[in-house]
Amino acid sequence: MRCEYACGSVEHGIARRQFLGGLAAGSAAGIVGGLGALAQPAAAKELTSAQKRVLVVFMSGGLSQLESWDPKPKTDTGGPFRAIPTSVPGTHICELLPLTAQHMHHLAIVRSVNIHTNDHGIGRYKMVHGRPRSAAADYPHLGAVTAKALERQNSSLPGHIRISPGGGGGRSNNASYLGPKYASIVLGNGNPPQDSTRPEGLSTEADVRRNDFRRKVNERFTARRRTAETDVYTYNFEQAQQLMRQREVFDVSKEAAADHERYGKHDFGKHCLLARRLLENEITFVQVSHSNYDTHNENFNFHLEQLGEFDRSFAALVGDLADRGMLESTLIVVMSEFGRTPRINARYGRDHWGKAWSVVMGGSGVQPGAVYGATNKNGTEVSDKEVDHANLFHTYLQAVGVDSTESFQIDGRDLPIADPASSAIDDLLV
Amino acid sequence: MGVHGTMRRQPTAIGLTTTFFACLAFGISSAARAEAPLHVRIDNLIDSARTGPASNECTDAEFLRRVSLDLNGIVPSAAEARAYLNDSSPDKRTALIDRLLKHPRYARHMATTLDVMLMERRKHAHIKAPPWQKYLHDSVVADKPFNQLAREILSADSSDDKQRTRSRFLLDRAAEPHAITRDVGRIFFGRDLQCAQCHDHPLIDNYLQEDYYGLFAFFQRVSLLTPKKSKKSFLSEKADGEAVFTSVFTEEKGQTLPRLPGGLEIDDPPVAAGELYKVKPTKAKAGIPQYSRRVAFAEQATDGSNRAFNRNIANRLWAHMMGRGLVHPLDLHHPDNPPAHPELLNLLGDEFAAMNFDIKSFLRELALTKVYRRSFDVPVTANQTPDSMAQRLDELQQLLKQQEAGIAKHEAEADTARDAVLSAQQAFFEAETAHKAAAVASGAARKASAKANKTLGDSQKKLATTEQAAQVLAEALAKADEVVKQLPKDKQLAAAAKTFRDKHQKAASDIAGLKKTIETQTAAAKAAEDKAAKSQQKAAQAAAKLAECKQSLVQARGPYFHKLYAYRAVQTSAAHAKTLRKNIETLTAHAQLQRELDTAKLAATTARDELNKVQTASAQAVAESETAQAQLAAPRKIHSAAQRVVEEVRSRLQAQQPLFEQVVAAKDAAEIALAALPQDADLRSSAAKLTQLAAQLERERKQLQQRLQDADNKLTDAANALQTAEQGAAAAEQKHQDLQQTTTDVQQRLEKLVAEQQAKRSLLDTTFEQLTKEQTASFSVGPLKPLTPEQLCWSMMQATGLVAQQQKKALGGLKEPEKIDAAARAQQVEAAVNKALQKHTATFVKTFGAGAGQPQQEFFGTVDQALFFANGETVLGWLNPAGDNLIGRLQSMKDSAACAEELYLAIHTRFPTQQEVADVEQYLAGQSEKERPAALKEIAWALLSSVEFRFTR
Repeated sequence: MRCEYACGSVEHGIARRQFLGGLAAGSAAGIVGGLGALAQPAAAKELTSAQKRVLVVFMSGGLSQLESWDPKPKTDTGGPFRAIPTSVPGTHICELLPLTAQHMHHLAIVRSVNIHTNDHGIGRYKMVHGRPRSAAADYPHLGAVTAKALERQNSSLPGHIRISPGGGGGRSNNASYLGPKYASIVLGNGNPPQDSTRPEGLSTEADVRRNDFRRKVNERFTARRRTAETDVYTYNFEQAQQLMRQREVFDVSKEAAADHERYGKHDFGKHCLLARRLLENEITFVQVSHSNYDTHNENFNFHLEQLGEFDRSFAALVGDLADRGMLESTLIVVMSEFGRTPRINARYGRDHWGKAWSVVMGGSGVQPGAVYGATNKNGTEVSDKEVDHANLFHTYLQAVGVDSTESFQIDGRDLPIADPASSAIDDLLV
Repeated sequence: MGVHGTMRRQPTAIGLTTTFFACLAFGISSAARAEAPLHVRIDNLIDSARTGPASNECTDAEFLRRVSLDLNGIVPSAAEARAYLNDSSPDKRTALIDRLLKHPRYARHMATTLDVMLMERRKHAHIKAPPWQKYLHDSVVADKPFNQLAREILSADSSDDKQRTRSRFLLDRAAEPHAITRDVGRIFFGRDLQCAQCHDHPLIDNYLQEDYYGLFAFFQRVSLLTPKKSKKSFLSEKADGEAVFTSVFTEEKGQTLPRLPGGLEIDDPPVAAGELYKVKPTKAKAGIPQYSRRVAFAEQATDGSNRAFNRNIANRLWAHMMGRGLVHPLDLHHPDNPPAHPELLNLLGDEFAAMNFDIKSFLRELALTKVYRRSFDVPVTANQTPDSMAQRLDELQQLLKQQEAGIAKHEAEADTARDAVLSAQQAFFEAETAHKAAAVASGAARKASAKANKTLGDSQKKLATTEQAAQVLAEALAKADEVVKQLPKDKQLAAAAKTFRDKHQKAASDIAGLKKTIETQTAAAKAAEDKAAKSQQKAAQAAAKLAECKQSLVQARGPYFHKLYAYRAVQTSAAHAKTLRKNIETLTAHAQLQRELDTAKLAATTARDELNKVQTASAQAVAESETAQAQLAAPRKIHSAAQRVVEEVRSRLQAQQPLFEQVVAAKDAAEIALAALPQDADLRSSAAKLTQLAAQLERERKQLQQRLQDADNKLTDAANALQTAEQGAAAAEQKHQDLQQTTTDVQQRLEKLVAEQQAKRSLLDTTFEQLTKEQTASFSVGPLKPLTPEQLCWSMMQATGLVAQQQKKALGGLKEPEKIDAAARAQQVEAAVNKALQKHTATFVKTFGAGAGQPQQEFFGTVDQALFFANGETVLGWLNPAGDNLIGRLQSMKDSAACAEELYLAIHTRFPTQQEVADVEQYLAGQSEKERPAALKEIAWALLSSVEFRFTR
């Protein structure tokens, strides 16, 4: 039988669209991949109707929990700052976050995090991958997991975006076995993706013309042999065209001047505003970073300065997401690679501290206003309900409706979505 | 094959034929055997096992592109393509294969292939990539056998500068035993055992924790050493450490000696306690044990006797050429994922070993097969199910039934053997515990005995001292007594003598006491010594028992592994039979669906014909009805005219009636009056007039009545005629309506049939897709292979003319080129071109390569790849006209058809079809001289970013 793909019949057109839909749900590696549940159209439909998103604000270098979410004023470890009341009666945070304090009823604090490491690399890996890295195993980034588990059908925009404070661009290598399709696309210093503008000297008409010619060449070839892989390949070019048409999604300058003013004109403010724009355009996972909190010297001056920036932009972002009704579908996480030592060193600094620190989350699926776990009086130990990176990883995913106890099936391998030896913090989930 | 507990070198594969061993032993090459060449045997096996139809042989152009990419990693230039396609010699394909294998690009491409296979694009950590790649390149250039390469890599001594580079495989995995175990399992044995690290694999029944730890035991003594203040790290190895594991699910404890996949356990040879190390590990120095398990692994895995090793590399090289492995994915060799052709995989593994792991010869054989030359066009499947297929299915069912029984039997046997292992293991663990306790007790007793001995020794020393003192005192006393005798009055002397006497007496009594103590202590020491000796004996017994238990454990494991491997073998066969059955079912289903679709199509056609007929009849009925309606007009007219006449006459008659009645009444009155007055002349005259008038009126009435009668008759006739006509019209209308109903019915039936046909078509599409997959998996159809990032990059540089330009430059740069032979010249040119252009591959690897440390074979597509082609400077830059590069050449061609030919030869390695020439001509038509280069660039871009370029066909 000759392949009838080229017949152009209506029924075939439908089959083809379903075929592509199936591909989009599957892994890049093969059509067999993907969450078992997602392969079923009903489940996929349910997902689109309640498309969830995740925003991670990464406080690079290690935010001091004592100068932020878990202040211990008037103790030997407390430092010079006061604790202030928040919009949640009884919950106090550091006075360096006065604007965020007004939004605490949207957020929850986990004050009992212990990740058993004081190493930047290990801590960062554990926090964003939910498991420790070993020489024998590399795990996908939370963004890759989210982008795959919450994959949007028929979207040409990438599902996993990292706004990098520095330059750079292109695709990262952080999807491990989920495949590069789910690796983060880096927006270096908030700029649109690499190669997303037409090269100079190529007119719109010429671009249309050359693409029409490309399609014609492809159609002739795929009439002879068409595979899932050739479909993905040709589809990527259509996606690229769409992405170029939607390039404004990545252009934060299109936001109102008043918003730029509110968020702050520094990089972090710009990046938070861009994050809002991306989330509004249904990008599944966005990570923004704020740097640098590695304050071995002059911890207090640095936090005073850094958190001033953070507080303004972050509070504006939380407020906007709440006002726009996006909080029900958007999970916010503020994390670091670890916290900082309660002990203040001779240089008025605090050092690395993975043993007892805090993570903040809020929005989709999270108990608003909750405070989970506690540290002792001067913050040197977790005194109640200790959790680690793996518990948090499960919790993030369950908050956006992903059954983190399930597995991805990739090439006949059964790969648990999160650490199977751990579980979510149920008390934090709605 | 005997089973001995502590064999160092034992045949590690089950079921090797004696022929194979003989071949190995006597070094008989495959050519010397009276058998057909390997490529013929491959085709014979494939043909005999094939279920469906196979694709035709590919065209010369397809072959050229395919084999150039597979053996040289690059497409040919336009000039090369033209020359090859115009060559009419009959053996040009074989000549091409040999030419490509001799080309310097072969070594370059295979070095890259091996690098990607071994390092999976990991970033360098301890050993830089370029020297490592050079080592691989040198190895390929020297035609180093693959097993030797593997042995060198796995046994490399990182402290030896000469071997350091090749230790990259281990060092850049941080010399971490689990990382090494995982990757050695995957890369050298095709088994991804990682999930079996913590428990038996949950999905793959045959990846057991003991399999993982059998491999792990070879590497667990290895670690990374970074001496203080040293910039280098080294692989250090200890001489002790055993693999013990516990399942996180069942908490069952296990222990294993090193074991190769498909082999038996290998115990360490006895080494004297003081000679454990060649180099003792310290904080500054990497340890090298006298007996290295890692080196033992490197030797035994690669010596040709391990079939799992041989099959894995044969499968990988097969996949390199054929686009997918006989076992696929390449690192999931297990019974539930059987090879597409188990016999073929065995043949390939054995033959590759028999040809001394010579990669080049092996690839040559593969390239010569028919199966390598299949077209990627899916063959036309026969519409009918051949009876042979049904028969084949029956046979398979039969076979499967037997196999199921065999599996059950083998499973039971393996289980029994495993129980024996478990109880032996239990005894071993108990003996181990007892041995530990006895050793502790023995140690304590030895200590106690030593202590008692020391106490005794101390007392004896003290006694000796005291006795010596007593001796001196006795002598002094005697001398004093003598002096006192001579000077008896001297009181001081007397006192001194007394002191001496007292001291001597004291010493004597001390000596007596000490002697007594020593007596007691001697007894105690003796007792302690006895106890220590007994404990030692016990410990020795426990050690002997432990050794015995270990022996019986290893002995129990021998038969167990045989049973286990036999069980796995029958499982593999059954799974393969199931695959074949599935394939036949798909073929049958496809043929059946095709037939059903044909039937449905036929039914629809019949219905469509019927509909046409009914519609024609219906149209005719409409016409007839209309005619009948039209024919009603005349009788209607006549009828109404007749009606009008009747009415007119009747109304005149009625209008006359009163006058007539009055006249008659007047006449009657006049006659009565005349009878009374007969003479009245006036009266008579009036009466006469009246009578006359009445008579006239009467006549007129009669006439009218007559006319009415006539008109009535005419009306009746007209009414009759009309009725007849109306009946005709009604009949015609009825006929029309009946036909209309039939049309609706037929139409509905047709719609249903069309829907059915569509459903069948869509089902057929799905089945066709499945069938294509299965036929591709069984190598009946040529695959579409995605180009690797390096192939893509080099091919683009070739197509755009970059490579040729660099070649020209390199040739020009050669010093005294006439003094070196062609091969050396080619080598130097290739090296120069590679040096100049290799930098570009990094961008392609970043964009098109899978993540570092991940398997690299699978295709993936992302939007940034398309953006890279569409807007990135790299490829578009290569398309700017420069000298005699592609666009430069095209620019100087005035003829659009010639442009089309050059474009297709350069980019798609083939001549364009007429239609394709026309497309190019059309694209270029209407472009001004100034616009033409841009238009050429657009066409070239479209061809470069097409599916045909991205995939090898």
